[in-house]
Amino acid sequence: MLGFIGRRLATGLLLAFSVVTGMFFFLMLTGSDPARGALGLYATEEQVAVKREQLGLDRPLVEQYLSWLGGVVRGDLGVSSAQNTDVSDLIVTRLPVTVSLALGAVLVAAVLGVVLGLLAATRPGTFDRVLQVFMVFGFSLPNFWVAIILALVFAVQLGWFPATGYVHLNDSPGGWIWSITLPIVALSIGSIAAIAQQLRNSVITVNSQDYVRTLRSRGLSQREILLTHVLRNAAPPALTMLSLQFIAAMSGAAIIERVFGLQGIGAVAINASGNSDIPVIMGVLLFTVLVVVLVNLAVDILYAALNPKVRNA
Amino acid sequence: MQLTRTLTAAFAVVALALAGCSGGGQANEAGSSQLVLGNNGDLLTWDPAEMKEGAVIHYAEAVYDPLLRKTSESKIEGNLATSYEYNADLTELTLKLRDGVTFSDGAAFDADVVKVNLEARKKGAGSASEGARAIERVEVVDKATVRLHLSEPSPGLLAALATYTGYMASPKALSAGTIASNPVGSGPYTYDAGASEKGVKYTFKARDGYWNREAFPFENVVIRPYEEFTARYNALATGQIQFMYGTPDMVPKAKTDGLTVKTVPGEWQGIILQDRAGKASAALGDVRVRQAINHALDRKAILETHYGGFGQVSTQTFNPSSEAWVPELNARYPYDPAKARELLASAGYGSGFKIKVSYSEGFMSPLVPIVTQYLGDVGITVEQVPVNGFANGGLETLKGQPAFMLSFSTNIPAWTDVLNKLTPTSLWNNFKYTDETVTRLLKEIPAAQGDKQAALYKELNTHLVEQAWFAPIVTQENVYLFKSDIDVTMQQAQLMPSLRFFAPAK
Repeated sequence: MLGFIGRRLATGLLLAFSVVTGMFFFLMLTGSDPARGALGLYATEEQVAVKREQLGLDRPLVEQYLSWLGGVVRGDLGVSSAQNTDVSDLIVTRLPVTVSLALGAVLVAAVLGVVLGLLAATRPGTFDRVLQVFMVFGFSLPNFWVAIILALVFAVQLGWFPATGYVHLNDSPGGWIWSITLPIVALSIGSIAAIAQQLRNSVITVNSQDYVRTLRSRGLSQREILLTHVLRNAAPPALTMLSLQFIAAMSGAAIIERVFGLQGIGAVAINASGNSDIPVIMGVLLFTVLVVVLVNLAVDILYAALNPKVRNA
Repeated sequence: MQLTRTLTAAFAVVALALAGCSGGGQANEAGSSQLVLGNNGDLLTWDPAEMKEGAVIHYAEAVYDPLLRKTSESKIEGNLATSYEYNADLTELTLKLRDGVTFSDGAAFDADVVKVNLEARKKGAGSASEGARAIERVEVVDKATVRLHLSEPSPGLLAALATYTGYMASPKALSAGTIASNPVGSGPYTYDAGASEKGVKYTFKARDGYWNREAFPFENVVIRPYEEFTARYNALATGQIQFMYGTPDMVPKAKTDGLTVKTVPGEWQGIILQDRAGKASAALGDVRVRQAINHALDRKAILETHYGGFGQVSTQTFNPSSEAWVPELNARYPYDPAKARELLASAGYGSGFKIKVSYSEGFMSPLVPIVTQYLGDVGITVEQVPVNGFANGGLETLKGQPAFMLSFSTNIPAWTDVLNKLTPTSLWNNFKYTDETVTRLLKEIPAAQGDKQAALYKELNTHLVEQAWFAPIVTQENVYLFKSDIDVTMQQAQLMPSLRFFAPAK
């Protein structure tokens, strides 16, 4: 098992390295000008040239890349070119918002998705059809639109939740739940539908297999068969869907954060993009890629735990 | 069934927990002694020399006091400098300074401090450095008098000294190099870092002993940045903030929600026909073609449909309250496609021509197809060149195009518009075009004052409209929305009204 984890981790890190390397050169070669972005339209060409030198942009591209990579290895993500702030500090400060949002959305999606998926699979007929309609509906709604509607109805009209802002968990646990509920609902609706749909189909497929019929004939209860045998075999595709939803939640959070005025990683990335703040963009990218790698690794480990044959793959 | 019961119970618990949370009411920071402003964006630096113009002014005004200040009509009056006087040829400006002013770190304000500040502003890269460009040397006459020696007369200097160029920062903070992260000024409030969170909210507390306390009646000011209009509006509607800069489409809902709506003439939107010598587009080099473009646009229809009536049709690029404005000029180019075709034919483009028009993607995107269609109707085929953000190399793309569409500020004094768009080194005159009349007037205007200067500005504006350097469409109305517990006096030609124009409602 350890060898399996090691191999998967190495592959993941190689992937992360390739992505950030490619992105670094892509950003540098697309005409972005962090010096102009930092100084604004009023700066003279001479001032922009001085800033370029300060930021090290006058050095060969490979040298700039190696310098950035060296910093990353030492745990130093550099300094924002637009606001003179340490990139690591910026990410760490904003991390709780995005993590609360993405983890909360995935947790809600996992719980509700599994419950709804199981209910749909085990209650054929009207109940299943109604749920299917809701699932298709939920999956097709853009989450920014859902966010706007939720804010309008539950914050502006009804006043049940704050329209904007984030309360830190350690400042007020109740306030934290209160501030994050609508964003989580907006972000999770599509994921709930996706996971429920995936699990429903898998359970129905597994349920119709011979070994399940055999188990039934041996007198095992439907509940025991479902939870012990069917779910174990139906879970992997839903697990894959869950990991994909987490990754989608990380990117979807950027839009949801804007609608609810939350200052998370997404807001940082969007602002950095507007200022061509390449150190911040790269920092956010590196963080996101590492999260994706770790989530995939966790899913692989769970797969392996469920199915030992995977470990030799 | 047991699963269903468990689920129902779980939902009930969550619902009760949330109901309990919301029972405490909304976090409404607004109160009679506190002003909470929603801002368009975050602050990148506290250094006045590096600040970019726009909504940032509220952050700056909370902590920094300017040498001069603007009235609600954007006329200039004394502030930290109690009086100002030019010499006869307008190359020296003498400022008499207020006595007894201190910075929040205890440093005293005097002529030496003004010198240090203005020299720091000149070195910066923000709009303050643009405003200070004409200052060649700062002479300390005595502790309470400073004289600015100018390289040439600069009609925009007084207005610059009333904002970014004129903000006075503590000499200690400037010499320590900490001003970008820790603002220390002589302004009405001090920055409370402990009660602030970067990117989320910035809190300011009233300063004891501030010389002009009655002009700033709030004990605390909180500024909350919201990039997204929807979020900002929701924050206002639910009482999380008291004031915001809005958009015309928000007005009907704002009125329904009981918010106060005020407007003030703001930016002009339209086309800069910058290739007036016909280098990249030979057709644009002919004044008849530029006039045809102006005749081809149905400004009234665009104003009503695209802008919802929030603005006025305009052929001019100056502020309606500025000395350059000539009301009659707005009748110069009525919508007349037949006349446009006639002008094009007389210029040799009877069968039309193609032209590249760049524009800022996003807020200009809806207007571009409208303009494209109107120009297409008279035979001009627009090739759209979207530009995604100036900072991302977009400025370079825009520079190379014969024409472009954007939203441009209009200012008082009109000289700021001259510097932005009309000189050979202007940011928005990338083909560096000029002509004899403009060259002459740009020399004569700075050397004149009063009515004589106003007449020259009007002559310049008339010439620009006649020569169709631009094809403006409307001068927009800027829209401001606020709660009924505050009063805000609108300010001409400034994106955000100054902090001293905010007061608790009577």
